[in-house]
Amino acid sequence: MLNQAISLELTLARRDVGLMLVVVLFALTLLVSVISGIGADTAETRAFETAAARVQSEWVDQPPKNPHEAAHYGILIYRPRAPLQAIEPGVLPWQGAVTFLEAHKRNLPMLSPASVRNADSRYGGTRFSPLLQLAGGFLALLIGYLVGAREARRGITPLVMGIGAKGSALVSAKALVIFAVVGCAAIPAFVAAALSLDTGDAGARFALLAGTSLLHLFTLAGIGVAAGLWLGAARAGLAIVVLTWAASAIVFPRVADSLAERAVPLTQKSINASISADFAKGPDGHAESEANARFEKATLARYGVAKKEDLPVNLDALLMQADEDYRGAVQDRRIAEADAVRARQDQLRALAWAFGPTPAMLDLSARIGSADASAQYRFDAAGEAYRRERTAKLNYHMAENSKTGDWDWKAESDWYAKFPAFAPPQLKVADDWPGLVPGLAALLAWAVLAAALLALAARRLDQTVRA
Amino acid sequence: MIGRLVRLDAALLRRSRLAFVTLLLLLGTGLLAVASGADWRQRYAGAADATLDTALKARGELVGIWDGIASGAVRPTDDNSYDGNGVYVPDPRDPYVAGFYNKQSAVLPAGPLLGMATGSTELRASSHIVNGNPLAGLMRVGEPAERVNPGALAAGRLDVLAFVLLICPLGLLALLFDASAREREDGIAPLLASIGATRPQLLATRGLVRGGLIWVIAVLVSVVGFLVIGADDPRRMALWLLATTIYVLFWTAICLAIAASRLGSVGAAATAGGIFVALLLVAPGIIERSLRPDGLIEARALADADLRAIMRRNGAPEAVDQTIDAVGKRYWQIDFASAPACARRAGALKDYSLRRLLDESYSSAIRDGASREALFDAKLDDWGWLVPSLGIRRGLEAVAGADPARQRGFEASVIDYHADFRDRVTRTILACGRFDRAEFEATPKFQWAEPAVPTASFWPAVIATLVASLALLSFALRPE
Repeated sequence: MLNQAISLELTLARRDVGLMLVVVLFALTLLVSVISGIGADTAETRAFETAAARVQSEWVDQPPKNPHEAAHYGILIYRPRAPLQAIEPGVLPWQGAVTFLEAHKRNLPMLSPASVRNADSRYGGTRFSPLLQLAGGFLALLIGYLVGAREARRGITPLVMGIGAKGSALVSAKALVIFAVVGCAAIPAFVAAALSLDTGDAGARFALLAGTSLLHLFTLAGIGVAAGLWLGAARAGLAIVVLTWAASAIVFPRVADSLAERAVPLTQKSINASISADFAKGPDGHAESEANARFEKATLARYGVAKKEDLPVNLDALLMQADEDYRGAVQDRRIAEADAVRARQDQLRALAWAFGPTPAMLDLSARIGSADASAQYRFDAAGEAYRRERTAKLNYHMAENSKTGDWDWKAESDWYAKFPAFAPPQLKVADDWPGLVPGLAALLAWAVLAAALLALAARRLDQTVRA
Repeated sequence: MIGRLVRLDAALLRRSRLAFVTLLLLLGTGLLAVASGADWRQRYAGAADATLDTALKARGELVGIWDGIASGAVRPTDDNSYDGNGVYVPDPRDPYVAGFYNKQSAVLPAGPLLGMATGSTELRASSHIVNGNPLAGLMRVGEPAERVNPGALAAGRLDVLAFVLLICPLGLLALLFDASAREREDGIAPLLASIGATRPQLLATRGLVRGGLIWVIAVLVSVVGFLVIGADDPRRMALWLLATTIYVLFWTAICLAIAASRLGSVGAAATAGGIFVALLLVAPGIIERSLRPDGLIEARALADADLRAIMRRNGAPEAVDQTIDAVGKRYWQIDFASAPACARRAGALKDYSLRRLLDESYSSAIRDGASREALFDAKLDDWGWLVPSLGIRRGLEAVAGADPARQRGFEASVIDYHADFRDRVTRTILACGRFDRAEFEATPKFQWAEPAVPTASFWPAVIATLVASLALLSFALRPE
């Protein structure tokens, strides 16, 4: 029975010229989005890699220099590309991609690619995955509704059921065929994207993205078919379905963002103010302070000398490092507080997932591509860890090889070649797993709900005939 | 007849729960958009306040030193003999020192209608600290002072512009998707015809009543927005309302054209939904992506890398003299070999020359990037009108003062102000002069001249949308 129903639905779909035209147009749009995404990603990645290599070679080839001076000259690091950046850039275009690392300061990443994309559409964008989730999801829901409501609209439901069709087979066939039709439209783009994948775990991420995207499409096709079967006879049925989708995919996420910001406010000014207030209490490598005096006293005691000139190490360099250690701890604490506030905001933002599967899928897609907010935080944290490691190495080298007040002492040029280039750890999809669970759970919950709605719709069909 | 049909439609609307819920949700979302936009305006101003505080604090410290010098209570450090030990008290009379410690704020005020539209203000700079020796500070000239949670940035802020662009069309689709199919499917079209009501009259009435209701809400939300943000520029407000009106008219016309195509309720709803997705979700991105040149941000990233290279190379002793000579000849038209000894102060001049070189290199990169962006903008102005949601959005962002061109103008002004500031210091250095209190007090302040309402992107979009609306209306309301 199921096979017959599927065969019937496939035949009807094939004969529907309008549907086929929409599917072909959608497939072309997705394919163009993949090709355009690969082009943009290649250009950006090449430029950043070139710049990173240039910066590193300049560092390695620098002339003899005082290590702390070298720390002040600093170095730039460039955000590595996300594993699926060509098809899923996530939130990264709106975040700084370059960080200037220097002594004493934790600078925020700057130069966000979106800062020059003035008219870049934020309503879906042109990259493959967001386009598939938004436009493909809408298409699956819409066609699902129209196919689900077909018999009710024409008043032939009793006729169809009268020839012995089972509600479950009919409903399953409709959902499966719609899913297959919309899914087929995505296949050329999926293939093109798969051919452009890097090595590493990009393949695993891509497979997960493809799987969850298809589940999302199936969920919306199922909801559409169920809605068509339930509301097919009502004139406003389709309007209700379309409006509910638009509200869930476009309106509620923005409302949730706005409410989250108002409920748990956080401003850069407040973060900076708390950090500055704490800085004033600690050692300062370039100014006098009570903390400096305490540090000097403790260092003299540690080395058992009375004057800093008698120290076997350079007190200035140790003070610089004490400044780094203290400021690092302050920043860790204050940034952790800010991150906790952002996490609360993100939890509130997830309220939008309750109104439809698409917001959860969009979040999940960015996370699978390691292009979500946490990926940016990881880049920021990895850059800071790299900065601290380098700065400590520079300060201790100066401390151990020069005397207090000897600011003219220089490290040899070849010593700087021992500093490795910035290479943040590339997380595997398994490492990202905890962040994927909420989105996956929400998507699965919606899939289960869609299946339940289909089952209820099938039962209703059977009951309608019996009645 | 129209009057009777209006009364009939009003009665139908009063009884429709879908219409009631839609209007209520629309109004509620509109007011939330006003609150959200106003909240951003406040945060934007707060970020600028922080910059002002930094500049005022620095100024307060310098004033204290000037007072101390006058009373003899403070003895500034001599830069030539300072060995790194003891408290360093900057000498505001020394131009090399004053150039660094005399910090001035450059603040881009909130756009006249910021809050109605957020535009690029979340992504670019709103304030900057300027001094005679900017260096690393200049590298951040395009960076936002207030950072938003990354998770919220991609979706875009719910402001009045998002409400008008995205949510009002949804309201129109809900109220107008079955503008004529209802009567046809219920079999009451002949009844209406018997009282002399024609289909164009029925459609015109529906458009007038339902489109009018959404227009009233859009205007009401906009006016509440003006009041909440304290807008006081009548011309911009008028342009905002004009574009809003034409945009609502456009979507009303689309709904009426769909209704006139004699599709059934389902076909009409499906077509309307498809048009919504195509015009608002897909088309703007495709137009923008196909016009955008590659290498906009990359140029700046590479410029940063170049600057680091210049700085490091200049750490080499033999390179320092070369840099000083090159910079002196190129930018100051001076040969340091024959310049007064007082101007050629070893370490200070090295730093100053290097910074001048970096300034020029980075300013040039920023200006180059800005000119590329301006070309991109011009292309979008040429073609953006093809998609009303893109063209109207760009137009309204410009009217609100949240467009990237205004941000670029600010960045250019900061660079110019910095150059003037630096040249003032440089002249004193090269003349072997010293600043006095009066010159310190007379330090020019950053001035921002609000540009006239930019209409390059506004009128083509508004006119194209109006023409499209009229064409759709003439199709929808053509005689039977």
